[in-house]
Amino acid sequence: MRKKVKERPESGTVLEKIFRYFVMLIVAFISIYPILWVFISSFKEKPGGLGLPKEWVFDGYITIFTELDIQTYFLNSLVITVISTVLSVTVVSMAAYVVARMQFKGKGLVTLMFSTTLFIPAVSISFPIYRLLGDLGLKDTRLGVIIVYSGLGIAVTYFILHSYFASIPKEMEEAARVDGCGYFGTFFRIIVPIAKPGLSTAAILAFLNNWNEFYFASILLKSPEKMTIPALLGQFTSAYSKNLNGMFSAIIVAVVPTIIVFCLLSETFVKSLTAGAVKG
Amino acid sequence: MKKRKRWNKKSFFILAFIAPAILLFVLIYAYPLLNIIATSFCEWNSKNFTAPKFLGISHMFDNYKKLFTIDANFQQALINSLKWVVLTLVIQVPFSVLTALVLSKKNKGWRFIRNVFVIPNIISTAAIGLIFLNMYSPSRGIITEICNIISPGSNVSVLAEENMAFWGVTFSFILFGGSSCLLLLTQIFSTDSSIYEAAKVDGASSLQIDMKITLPLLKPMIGTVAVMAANYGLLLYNEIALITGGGPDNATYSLSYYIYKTALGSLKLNFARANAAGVIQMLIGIILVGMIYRIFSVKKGLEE
Repeated sequence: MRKKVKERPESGTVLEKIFRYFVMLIVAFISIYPILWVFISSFKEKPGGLGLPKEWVFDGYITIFTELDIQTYFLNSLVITVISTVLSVTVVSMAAYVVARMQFKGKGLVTLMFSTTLFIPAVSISFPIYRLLGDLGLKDTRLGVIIVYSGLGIAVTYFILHSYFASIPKEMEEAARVDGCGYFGTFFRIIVPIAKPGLSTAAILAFLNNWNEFYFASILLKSPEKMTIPALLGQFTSAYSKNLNGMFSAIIVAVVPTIIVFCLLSETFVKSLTAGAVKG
Repeated sequence: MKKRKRWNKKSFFILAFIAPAILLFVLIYAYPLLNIIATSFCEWNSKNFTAPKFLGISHMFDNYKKLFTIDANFQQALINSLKWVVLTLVIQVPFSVLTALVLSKKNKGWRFIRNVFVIPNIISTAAIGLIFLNMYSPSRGIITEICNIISPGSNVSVLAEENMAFWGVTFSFILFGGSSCLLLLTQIFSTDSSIYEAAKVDGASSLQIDMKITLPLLKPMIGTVAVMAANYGLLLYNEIALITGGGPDNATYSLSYYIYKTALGSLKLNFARANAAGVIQMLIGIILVGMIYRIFSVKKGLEE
């Protein structure tokens, strides 16, 4: 219904319009300038400071692809993020479906359990997790990080999917059951395809959080060849700070893919961000 | 008989579908939570790493007592974290609300600005942290340079001075309210536009409409946004780890950073005390959520 309303600016006095554009300008400045500054600086022979480069150099970008091997970190990030996102959305969607659609004892308890996780700060429980992964032999492994990421966002994923499943008409399942579809078949062949928009909303949000996660990546991954992009960036405060061109270029290379994907899919992202935050 | 068999099949299905999520919950949340609560009443440091020892009934709150009496780092961290909570509520939330109100007028370019505002929230905070670390650097940054233009020879070094370092950390996140703005905007657009039409017919100015109609309607959503922002302030870690490392002289410790340092990141580890601080952090979070929800009378529970 909202779509029908034509997008015309609300009227207002000239003064109001000036004020609005002033606010918009400030918002644009604070959001873009830090990234733009790093971008411009990355081409300077001596990165940093105000102004444009006197001479444009690409040394930083060459170094991070040849010497630093940033591709490895991207691959780590991609593997860890994709697997943990698929894992958590699959596992949580199954639980959310059962709670949304079936009657059984302890139903309320499941929702209550997942809600409590919203109140448990990740850092405060990180030490037991760190020890647990150590006991399981998963310290400094990608698998360990994948398990942690799969569990971290369960509450938000759960609430998004729960409300989505609850909105699907019951007749769908009944028809499937009459046609002789089992419980598992009904879920995977009927419900999952219908729930695709909800699943993708939850998946985008989980992907974004896992892709950017820094704390657990930095405490769990110690060997450089296993690190994710955020963990690599954390290393720059100490290890690579001598190579300024490399650091500035790495920041840009780390954020540009996210920004490009966001520009291409901004409306989808907006939907995910609002869906997740309403519940979070 | 037949019915019973079907029931069994169904309960097997329910169990099979719930069990994996419960397992994740137990592994990542329930066990660690119980663990930190239990060990916060123990003596447990680098000397008895393998075997935490219960402090005894009469001394069971010793870790908590020590946090508040002798642990200067914790006290600094607590004060800072509470300051960051307040600052997000008085700076980030109003700024997001203002931006949402401005963008809701749909002046040319509003959608672009809305999206641009979200970018700092969707890129990695590790990158944001590094960017600000560099901007604050006296040798390669811009703050020192700008200050020198305004007042030549001042040679400001943001991260070297305690008070300025605190504000340095603060400004690395406080204005980035893009996701909050997004939520508020969605909420504004979803209210019935006939209310606005009626107000306009009655000759209300757009400022009056904002103050008298939009803001009151927006109140519950502002509450939700405030909870998220306050939580971010309370749990702040990444920016500190990347920009100041808690320094100078531990002046920019947050609760999260204290917990990390005390449990994992220093030479004098004290796991029990870190876990006690974790319990306190969690309790503060719960109290905050309760308070903010009460202030904004958000009726909608978390489990809808």
